[in-house]
Amino acid sequence: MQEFILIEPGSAAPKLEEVEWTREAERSSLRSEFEERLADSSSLAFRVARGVLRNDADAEDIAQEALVKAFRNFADLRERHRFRAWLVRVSFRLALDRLRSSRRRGIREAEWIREQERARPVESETSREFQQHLERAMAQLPEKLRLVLLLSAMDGHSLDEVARLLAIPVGTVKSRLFFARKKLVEKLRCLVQLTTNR
Amino acid sequence: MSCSTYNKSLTHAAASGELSPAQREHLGACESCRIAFAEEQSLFAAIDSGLRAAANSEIPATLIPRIRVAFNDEPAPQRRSFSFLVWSFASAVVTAGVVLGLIHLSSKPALVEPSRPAPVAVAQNSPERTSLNSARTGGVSPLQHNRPAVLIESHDSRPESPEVLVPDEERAAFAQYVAQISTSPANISVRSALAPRGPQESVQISPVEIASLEPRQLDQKEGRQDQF
Repeated sequence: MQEFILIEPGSAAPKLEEVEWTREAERSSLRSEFEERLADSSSLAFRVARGVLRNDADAEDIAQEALVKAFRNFADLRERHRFRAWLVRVSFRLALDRLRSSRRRGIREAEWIREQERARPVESETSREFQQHLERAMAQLPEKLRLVLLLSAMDGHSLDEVARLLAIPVGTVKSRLFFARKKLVEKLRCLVQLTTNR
Repeated sequence: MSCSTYNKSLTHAAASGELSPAQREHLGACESCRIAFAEEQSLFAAIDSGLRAAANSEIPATLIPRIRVAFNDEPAPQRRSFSFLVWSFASAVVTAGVVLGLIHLSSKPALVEPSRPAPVAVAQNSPERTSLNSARTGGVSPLQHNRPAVLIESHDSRPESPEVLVPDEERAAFAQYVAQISTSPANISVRSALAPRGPQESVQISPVEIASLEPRQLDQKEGRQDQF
């Protein structure tokens, strides 16, 4: 098929250097736009991963992996909400994959206990124990409920924001949240009764 | 209503944070349920604060620098061009076509021509057999069915073991006819005359002869007329 190039009278065709320069400018603008979002999005990725893994070092690895992936796809993910939703999904998925690798599970559990003890030296033993039980109970929840619970507990996340991030209706977020909290209460009630009877 | 009726509904209310007027009324009247509801509420409050603590963990100071280093090593992202998408789609379609074609070919049974019995003779007044043999020999002219008795030879005929299909009542006449053909000195011409004319028979075309021409001079009158 014959190809036609429309050239306006009086204007010359763009030179190769000009095309390259335009591409380079677009690349640098993408890079700077990504940098602007880095602080906000890295904390989101880290917290989602940490909520699943309960370990700072692993969560850092996952956040880095998710953000490098996000950078590779950033040209198609420039819209803010779409980018955050994508990042939450990828971080959660990567964290679950990491959690399932049984090779590292034992090491992670031991590290986590040590880290908890270091992080909260002033906390009472009862509240520390409760926190550990809560996080374990959370880990036993179904993935859908766990993610809703985690995102809605994050600062600055309204139910609407969680619905947008997960691309589900607000009503679904509410019902998942309700069932998740109820399940947690059922799991932790025995513990509370035990501690009050001591 | 008894306290056991309210037991589950109060847990439900503590989870949702909403009390119905009936529940409110019961809690005002029943102290044990009020205490149980308060415990349930404090448990939910503890869970919520624990969840907030777990979900808003402090970001390590090393996180952003290490991510920055990692993505600085990456090549800058580029929007996928239209031609890339078109080529991806086209290659996917071609691959799918090739795979489907291969599957179709592999699933198709091989067409093997059944072995044919070599020479076949068809007798008159047996239309079923005639049509059967027509099919076997690759198609015989319908006109041949009107012949009194036709000897048809297939291309891979084996004269030493001919197969003959003759009705019982015509068997004697046919035996006599065959004997006459085989003993006759002109049997070849008779057999060839009776044999079906297949498409393989070559037609001899004699070349067209061109008559010789005699050169003759033009008359002067004719030449003048041509000039006008």
